[in-house]
Amino acid sequence: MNDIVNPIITFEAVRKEYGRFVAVHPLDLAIQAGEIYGLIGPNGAGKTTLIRMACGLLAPTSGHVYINGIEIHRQAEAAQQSIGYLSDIYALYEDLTAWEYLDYFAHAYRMPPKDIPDRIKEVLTLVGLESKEQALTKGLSRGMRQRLGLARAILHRPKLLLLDEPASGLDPKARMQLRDLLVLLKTQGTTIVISSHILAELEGFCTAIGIMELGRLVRSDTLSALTSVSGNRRILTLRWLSGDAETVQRAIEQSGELVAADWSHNQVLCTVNLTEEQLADLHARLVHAGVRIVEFAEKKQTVQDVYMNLSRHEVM
Amino acid sequence: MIAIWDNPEWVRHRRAILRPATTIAVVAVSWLLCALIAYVADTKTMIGAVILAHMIGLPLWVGSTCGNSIMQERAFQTFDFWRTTRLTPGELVAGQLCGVPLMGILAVGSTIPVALLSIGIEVNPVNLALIYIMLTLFCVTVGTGSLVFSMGATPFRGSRVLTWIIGLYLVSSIMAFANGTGMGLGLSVMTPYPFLGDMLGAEAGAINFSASNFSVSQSTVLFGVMPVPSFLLGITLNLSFSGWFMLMLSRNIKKERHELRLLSRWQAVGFAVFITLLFHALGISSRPEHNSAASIIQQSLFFLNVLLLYLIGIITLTPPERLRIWWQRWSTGRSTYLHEDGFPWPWVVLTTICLAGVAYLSASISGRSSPTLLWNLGLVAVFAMRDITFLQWCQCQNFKRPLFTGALYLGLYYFVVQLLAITVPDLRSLLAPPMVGHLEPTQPIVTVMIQGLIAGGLLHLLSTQLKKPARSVSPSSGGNPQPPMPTESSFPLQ
Repeated sequence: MNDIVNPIITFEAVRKEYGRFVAVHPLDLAIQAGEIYGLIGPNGAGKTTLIRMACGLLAPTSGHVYINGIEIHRQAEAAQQSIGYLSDIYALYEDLTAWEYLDYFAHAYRMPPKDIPDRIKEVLTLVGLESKEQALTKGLSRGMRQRLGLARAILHRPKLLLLDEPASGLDPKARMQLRDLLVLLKTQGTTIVISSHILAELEGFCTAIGIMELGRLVRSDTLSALTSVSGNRRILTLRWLSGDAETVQRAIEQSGELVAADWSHNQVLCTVNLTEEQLADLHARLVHAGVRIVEFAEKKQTVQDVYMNLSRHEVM
Repeated sequence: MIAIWDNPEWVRHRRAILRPATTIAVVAVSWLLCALIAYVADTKTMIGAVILAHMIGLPLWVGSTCGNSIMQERAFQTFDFWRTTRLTPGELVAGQLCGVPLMGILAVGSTIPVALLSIGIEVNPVNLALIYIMLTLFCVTVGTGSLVFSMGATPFRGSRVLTWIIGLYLVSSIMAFANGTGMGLGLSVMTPYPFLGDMLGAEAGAINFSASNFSVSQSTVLFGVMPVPSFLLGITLNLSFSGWFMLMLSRNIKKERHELRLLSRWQAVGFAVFITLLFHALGISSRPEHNSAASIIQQSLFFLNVLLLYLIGIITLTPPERLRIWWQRWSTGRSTYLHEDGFPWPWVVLTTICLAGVAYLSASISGRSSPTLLWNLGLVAVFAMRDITFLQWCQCQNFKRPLFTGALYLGLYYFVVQLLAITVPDLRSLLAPPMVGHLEPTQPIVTVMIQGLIAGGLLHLLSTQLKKPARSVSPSSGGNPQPPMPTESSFPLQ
């Protein structure tokens, strides 16, 4: 991702080793303030390690992580004031009520004491737990616990929210609520970094994506740049009622370059190098050759396509 | 620093532990027990039993609850959120220390009025106050020590070990003053028991109220060659130990278990000197009348030095990834050999020099000079260097539990040496460190040469290991060699 003018988080040649293993290879990354940045990759790709280094929970073997210009491993407490963090597996303090739980963290984050009661009410309403204010956390359902965790993470109005697989274990409705909440937080100016190995979770609301594989950041860009077609390369779907595949193939080759194709009965999914004019020519050629077309569509590249192109591992 | 009553960590524990129902139950049970004892015995016995229960129960409660607290935070995965707050290590420790054992503190606090009744029955109030001050300080020491233990221990097994250690220490302290020595291991002045001893009668749990002329503030012990007020020594020792523990906690309480380094290397040497100075001072003060007793003290001090050498060696082991980076920097002239992330063996040497200096000073003062002790200490240092280098090599081998595995191998080695020594007795002095007795004049040189060569070989092996690049494999991907990284063009479109 180029031309980051206002990075909220910067990784500079960050590397992490565990014993003899390299969990994260030297990595440079800057994330623009105000983004929802999705970090995707299979289990073991290094996403959690990267997020934990960004929170100051894990020291990099070499390199530097800056949050708002503060190096987190030198001034952890100052940098952590800008961070809200939520991991996939965690527990709440079971012997506290939801209100007491948030009150503990509000004081621990050094929020002004007079603001704390109002802010707790505000975040409990935001995550839909206002009716559970005085309930012990051990009595909350999985979804409610996750929402309370999120309330804790946003309690001190962090500029940067780091979420590590936040939707794991949530039912579809709770996932939708989580997504809506994150979009709302983005509109309020919070930068969100969210990791997942479930692509469907991130597509649609992330503004930038980083793809990790075996400890390397394979690709990082805005969603539009990532899914845009480079040059004249296009993915076409063609389906017809009558006419043979050879005629169709010949028409494509006469119009431009056929890069790859997956043929099946009366249809093809192919990658071609065609300008818009050549695309129109192709359509005319097929009609002229008597091919009765029922579908002639250019397929937009999805994050999943990009990921599958880059990754050799299976994803959900 | 936030005041303790505003400390969020303390407030959390207070809210969680002191719910109205629990508070009422704890106070009621405490009073009920006092009433029961008073009913079956008499008031004096009841007062004595309550004071004794405070003195034994509270340190045990503080030790076991603090010994569990950080490991439970890790086990329940609340530790990460705890670490991302702005609470400083000092605030966290203060909150934990005062908050975690709150139920025990409440039980003691609610029965303090019973202890105060003893003032009405000829007990000097100053003595009583000093004993409770000593109890508080001892609990701070036990609490901070337990928190240090809790940082590195794994759940459940660790807490049992800690409870045993504290229990054994308390028992040995009580036995020490019960035997009339008043000192025991010397460290019993840190506890309130030596002072309490003068108030205890023959009957268990009964206070000897006739001993009201005893004054805690006037009791003295010999520390080194100087008589020191025992109360003052107790306070100093408690403050010193809890200070060291606080240092360890403040450096590490917000770190992952694998990143723990209790002390910096210079601090570790300082800690070794502090411990050995303390024990030498306590050893000298024992002034044994028989030669056999003097020999036992000397051997104990020697064993202590051996333990300290290995302890410092283990504390200064470097995590493999940091050792590799230091090696790269050092081999290109960008770091020093005595760096914090370098090999641990030079620090074993430095510690040996310091320990030998203290031993020499102590021997000069006590007039029990023994060159053999210094020789043996030097020899042990060579073995310690070898063993610590071996443990460091194990750490770089990606064993699942490198320290434990390395210690097992070393244990096996020493076991085999002992077996061999049955048939070839001379082998023992060549292959294992000396523990007691004199050495033949030629043996130390041969032993040093052999063990020095082995240590050198291990260092060479370790250096070769460090030259190799780290494996480009993610830890959760099963340790397979990394395939060539894909590029966009290397995948056919589907």
